[in-house]
Amino acid sequence: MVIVGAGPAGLAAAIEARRLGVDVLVIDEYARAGGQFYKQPAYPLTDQQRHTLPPQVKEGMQLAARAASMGVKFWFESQVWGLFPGLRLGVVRGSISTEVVAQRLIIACGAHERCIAFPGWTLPGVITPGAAQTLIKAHSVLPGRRTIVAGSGPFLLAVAAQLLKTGAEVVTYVEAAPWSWATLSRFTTHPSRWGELARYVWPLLRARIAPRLRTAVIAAHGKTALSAVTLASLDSHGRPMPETKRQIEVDTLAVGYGFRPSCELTTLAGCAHQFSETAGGRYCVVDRDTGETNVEGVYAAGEVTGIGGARAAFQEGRIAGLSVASSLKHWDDEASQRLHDTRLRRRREQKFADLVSCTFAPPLGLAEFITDNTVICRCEEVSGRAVREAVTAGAHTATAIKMWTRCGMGRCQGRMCGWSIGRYVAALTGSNVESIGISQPRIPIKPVKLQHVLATNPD
Amino acid sequence: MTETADVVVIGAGIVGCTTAYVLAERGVDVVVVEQGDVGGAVSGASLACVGIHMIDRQELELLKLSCQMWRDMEARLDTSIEYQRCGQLRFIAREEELGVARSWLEVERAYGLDVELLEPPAVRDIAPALEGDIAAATWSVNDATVNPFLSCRALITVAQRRGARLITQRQVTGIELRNGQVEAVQTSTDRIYAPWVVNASGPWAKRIAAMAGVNVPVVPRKAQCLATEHLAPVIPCVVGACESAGGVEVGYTQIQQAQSGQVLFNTVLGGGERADGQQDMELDVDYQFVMDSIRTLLWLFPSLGEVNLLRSWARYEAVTPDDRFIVGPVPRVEGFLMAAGDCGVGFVRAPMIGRLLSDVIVDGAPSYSLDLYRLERFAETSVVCG
Amino acid sequence: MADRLNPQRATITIVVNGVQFEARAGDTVASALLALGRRVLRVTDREKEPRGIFCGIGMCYDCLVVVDGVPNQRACMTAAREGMQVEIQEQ
Repeated sequence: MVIVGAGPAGLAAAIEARRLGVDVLVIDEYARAGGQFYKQPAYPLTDQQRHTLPPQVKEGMQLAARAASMGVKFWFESQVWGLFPGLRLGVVRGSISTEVVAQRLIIACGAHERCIAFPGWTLPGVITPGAAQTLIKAHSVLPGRRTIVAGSGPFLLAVAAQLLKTGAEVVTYVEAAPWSWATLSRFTTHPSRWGELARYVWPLLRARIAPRLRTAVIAAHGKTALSAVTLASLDSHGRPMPETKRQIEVDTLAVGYGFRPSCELTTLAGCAHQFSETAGGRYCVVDRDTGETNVEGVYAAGEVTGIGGARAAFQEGRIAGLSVASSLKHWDDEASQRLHDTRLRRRREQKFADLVSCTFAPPLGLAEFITDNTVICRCEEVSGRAVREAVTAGAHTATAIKMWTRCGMGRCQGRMCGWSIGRYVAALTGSNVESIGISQPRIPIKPVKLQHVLATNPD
Repeated sequence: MTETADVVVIGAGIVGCTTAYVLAERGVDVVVVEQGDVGGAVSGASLACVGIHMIDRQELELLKLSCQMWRDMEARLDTSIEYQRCGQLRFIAREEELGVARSWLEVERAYGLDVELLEPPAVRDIAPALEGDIAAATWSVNDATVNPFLSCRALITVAQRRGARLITQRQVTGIELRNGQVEAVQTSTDRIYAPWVVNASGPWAKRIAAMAGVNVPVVPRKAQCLATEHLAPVIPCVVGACESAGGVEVGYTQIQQAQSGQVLFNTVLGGGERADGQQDMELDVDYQFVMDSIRTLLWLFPSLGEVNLLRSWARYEAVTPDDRFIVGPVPRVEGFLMAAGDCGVGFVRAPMIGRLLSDVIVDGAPSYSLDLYRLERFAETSVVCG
Repeated sequence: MADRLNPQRATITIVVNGVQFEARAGDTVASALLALGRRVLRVTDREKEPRGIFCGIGMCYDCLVVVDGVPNQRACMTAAREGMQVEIQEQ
C-alpha cells in the first residue's frame, strides 16, 4: 500500500498497517517525516538538545523512528505529480519520475494555510504562522525581532508562544473571532487539553500580552519590506470599523486564518468532496469508521478529510491503516479491539475539533480587507479591481474568475488566493462561498520539471 | 420568463460569439444561451492559431476571408485580443515527409500565400531555441495567434453593446417547431420565441440538433493541453507538426508561448473520440499524452528541460466524419442553422461562419457558397421527426 | 537582522550574488538568507514588487532564487550546501 504524506495521519496509518504485515511505502515531498505538526529540526542535534526537545517534536521523532524500524519504506523529497487510472502515481524523486502502482492508496496530504488578501500582504516580512514555526523549529532562526501574530485560530496561540520562547518581542496577538468567556468556558469540558492550552497561554500571560479579540490586521506597510501594520476592530459581521484603526510598528507579521484541506490528490482520484467553512473549505468525504472514500482502493485520513487537528488526524490515520490491512486480509484478534478503541478516540477528538472550529470561525466580513489595489493572486499579480470587474462582467465562479483574470494560473496553483477569491466573489455577488466553487486541481498537482517527468523509470 | 428575439444562438464559444457579434452589428436581435461561461466548451482554452497554412486545400478562399476578419478584429472591436502576427513553423521530422510538405506549399503558393520551405539553419534564425534535429520546416509568415478567451469576451461584449443579450449558466432543454419551422427555444427557466436558431454548441451539437428533430454526425473528441510556468520569451512563433495524412510519430503537435510567458503545448498521436454523454464529464489529461507532449517539446526545444510543468487541461472538441464544419441550413427544418464541428480547428474559421450565417438570416443567402459545409453531404442525414 | 537561536551549529559557506557568507548545517537557503538579514528575495516580473518568504513550506512559490545557475528554485525547500551559488534578482 502507498501512503502519501508522512505527517501524523500518514505515520499512524503506516505503523498500524505495518504491524499487521502489510508492505508499506510512504511518500512525502519534504526531507523528513513529521509533516507540519511534528516539524523536525533540519540540523544535527547535540545530545543535550535531544533531551530538551519540545514534546511534539519528540513524539514525531519517535513515530518516524518506530515506523522505519518496523520496515516501513520512506521516499522523502519525492513529489507526487499525477494520479492516473488504476491507482498509478507519477512521482518525481530527485531527477527522475517513477510510476508507482498502488494496491491501496491512503491520501494523507494534510492542509495548507488559509490566507485572506489585504493591502501590503505581499511585503517581505509578512509570513504565515506556519512559516514562523518552520523557521524556529526546523532551522532555529528567528523570523524577526519585533513581531505581531494575527488572524484566527488556535495555531496562532502556539506560534505566539513559540516566538516568545525564542526571545522575540511579540508586540500583540490579534484574533478575529468574537470570543467571549462563555465560549472559552466550553473548553473546560476537555480536561485532556488543559495542559496543551496552558503551554500556549502561559507564555502570553507571563509576557503580559493580552490577546486583542475581534481585531484584525487590515493592512501592512513598508517600502521594500514590512515596517508597520494597521489594526482595526471588527464589527459583529467581521467588517473592519474604520474609526478603530491604529498603526503599530513591527518588522514581522505572522498572519493566517486556519487551514484549508489540500485536496488535489483526492480530486484527481475522483473522490467525492463536500464543502464546509468550519471544516476548512472543500474536503474529501470518507466513511469515518473505515477511512474509505467512494473510490475503490482509495482511503483518506487527516486534514484532507476536514480540518480537525493533529490528534484527530492521528486517529484517522490509524483507522485507515487498520482498514487497509483488513482489506488486504492482514488481521488478528488484537486488531479488532484496536480498531474499536481507535474509533472511540477519533470521535472524542472530533468533538474537540468541532468545538475549536466553531470558536475560531473567521467572520465573513474579512472580504472587506480587499481593496482595488490589493494583490489577490500573488503569483500572477492580479488586483482586487481586476476580480471585481470580472464579477461585474458576469464571472461568478472560481473557474470563470480564473479564465477572466488568470487568478490561480500561477505557480502556487491557486493555493494562496483560493480562499480570498471565494470570500471576495461571494461578498460581491451576495452568494455563499460554496457556490463560488473552486478551480479544479489538475495534473501536475505541484510544479515538476519537464525533463524529470520525462525521465520515467517504471517501478 | 418569456422573451422574443430574431435569433437564438446556442453556445458562447468562438463560433457563437462571432455569430452573435456579426448579427448584432447588422441590427439583428440576438440572444445567446450558454450552459457554462463565455468561452464555452473548448474555445476559451484553445491554442488559437489564426492562419491558412496546412489547414484545408478546398477551403482556401473562405479561410482567407476569415483571416482577414481576424486581422481587422481589434480595430473593429476597439479592444485588444492580443492579436500577434508571429508566424508559424511546421516542422518536418523526417526526410520522407518532405513530399507532403512540398505538395501543400505548391497549392498554397499557387493561391498566393506567403509560405516557404526552410532548411534547419534558416529555421534557427527564426527560432534559435529550436535545436531539435528536424529535417526542415515550412514557414508561414502571416499566421497569427489571438488570446482565445479575450476574443470570445470582446466579441460578446461588443455584441451586447449593440443590443445582444447573453444568458450564461443556462441549459437549452428544448426547441419548439411549428409546421417544420423553428418557433421557440426552451431553457431551464425561459422560453425564447425566435424564428432562427444557430446551433453553435460544439460537442453537444448532436444533442441540441436532436431537439429540433435533426440528426447530425458530431461526436466529442478529447482535446488536451499542457502549460509550463511563465518564462522569458523563447518561442517566437507557433510551432506545429507538418500536416500529414496517416499520422506520423510526432502526430498533431502545437506549441506556442502565450503572452503571459507560459509555453502551451500538446502532441496527440491519434484517436480520442468519445461517446456522446462523455462531454459532460470533468476531465484529466492522459498519461501517454503527457509523455508524448513533453517528449516532443524537449526534442524540439532541449533548453526547456529545467522548466516546470505547471498546468494541464482537457476539454472536448466536436468532430465530424470528414473533419470539416457543418454550417448552414438543414433540410426540412426551417430556421435551424448548424454551426458546429470544429475538429480542433475552430478559431480560424469562426468569423467566416458568423458572417455567412448572418448572410443567410439577413439577406436570405450566404455571400459565399456553403456547399462544403452542408449537412446533406453525409449519407446518414435524416430527420427524426417534423 | 534576524537572529540564530543556537549559533553553535557547524558552519558552511554559501555564495550570494558573488559574495561569500556563513550559513549553518541544516539551513535552507531561505533560513540562511534570513539569518543574514536578507528579507527581499526577488522582485515580481510585472510590477517589480519585492517578495520574500511567505509560507515557508514550499507552497507559495514566492521565495524564488537562482541556485547553482538554475532559476526559480524555492529558497525554503532548498537545503543550503557548502559552496552553493545563490543569486537574488536585484531590481
